Amino acid sequence: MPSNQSSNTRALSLPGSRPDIDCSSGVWVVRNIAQMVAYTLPSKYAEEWLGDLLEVNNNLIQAGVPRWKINAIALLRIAQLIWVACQITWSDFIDTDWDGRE
Amino acid sequence: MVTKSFFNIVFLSFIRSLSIIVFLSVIVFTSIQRRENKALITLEKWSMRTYLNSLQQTVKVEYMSNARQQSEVKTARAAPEEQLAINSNAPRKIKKPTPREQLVLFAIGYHERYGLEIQRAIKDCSNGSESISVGSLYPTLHNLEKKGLVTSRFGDEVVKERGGARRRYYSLTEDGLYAIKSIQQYQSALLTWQPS
Repeated sequence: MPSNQSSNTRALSLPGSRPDIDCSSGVWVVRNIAQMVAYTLPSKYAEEWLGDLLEVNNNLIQAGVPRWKINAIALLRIAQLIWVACQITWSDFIDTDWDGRE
Repeated sequence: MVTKSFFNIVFLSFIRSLSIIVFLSVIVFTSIQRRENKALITLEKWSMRTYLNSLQQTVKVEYMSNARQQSEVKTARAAPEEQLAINSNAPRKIKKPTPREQLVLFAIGYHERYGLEIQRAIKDCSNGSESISVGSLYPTLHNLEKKGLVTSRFGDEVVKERGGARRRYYSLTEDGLYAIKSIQQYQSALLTWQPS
C-alpha cells in the first residue's frame, strides 16, 4: 500500500520549472512512465509538454473515455514527446546557420 | 596475398576519398542553397515592399480626396487591415516559413495561444479536415522561435488539470506579423494578377 500511495502523491520538480508538477490525477501511464520520461526531456520544454499531456489526460477522463484507451493515448503521446525531444536536440546540433540571423 | 592486400589498400583509399568528396560537396551545396534562399527572400521582399508602397499611395490618395470634400485635414487612417500594415522603414530580414509553419503562424494570429489551443484552433477552423499532431507542433513552434517569428512566455495562472504546470503562451513577433501579412498580400496579389 505505501509504495502505490507514494507514487500517487509524488510531485515532479523538473529542472527549469518553477512549480512542482503533480501527476497524481493522471492514469497509470502518466503516473509511472511520464514521470520517468519527464527527466529526459529538454528542460526548456518539459513543463509545457508534461502539462499539456496531463491536460489532455484529464479532459479524456472527464469525457468518460475508457481507461485502457487513455493509457494507450498517453503512451503514444509520450513516445511522440521522446521523438520530438530527439528531433529538437538533433536539429539544434546540426544547425549550420553560418551566415547568422541579421 | 600480395594482390589481396593491394586490392584492400586501393579499395579503402577509394572509399575514403569518396566519402571526403561527398562530405565536401554537401557543405558546398548547403552554403550555395543558403545564399540562393537569401537572394530569393530579398527579391520577394523587394516586390512585396513595392506592392505595399503602391497600396499605401492608393489609400492616401483616396483619403485625401475625401478629406478635401469634408475640408478637414486629418492624419491618414487606413482600413483595419492596413492598420496592421508593416512599417516599411523597419529593417526586415525574415526567414521564410514553411507551409506547416505558416499554418501555425495563422493559428496563433493576433492572440496569445498555448500548444493545445493551437491544435484545437486548426482542427475547429478546418472542420476537422486539418489537424496537427504533437509530434509536428512542438518542433514547428521551436523552429518558429528560432527564426524569430514567434515568442513565448509562461502563463501565471494555476490550472489544476495540469497538475500545477504552467502553460506556455506563444505570440507573434513583429517579424511574424510581417510574415503573415506578406503571405496574405502575396495570395491576394496572385488572385488579382493579370498578364501584361
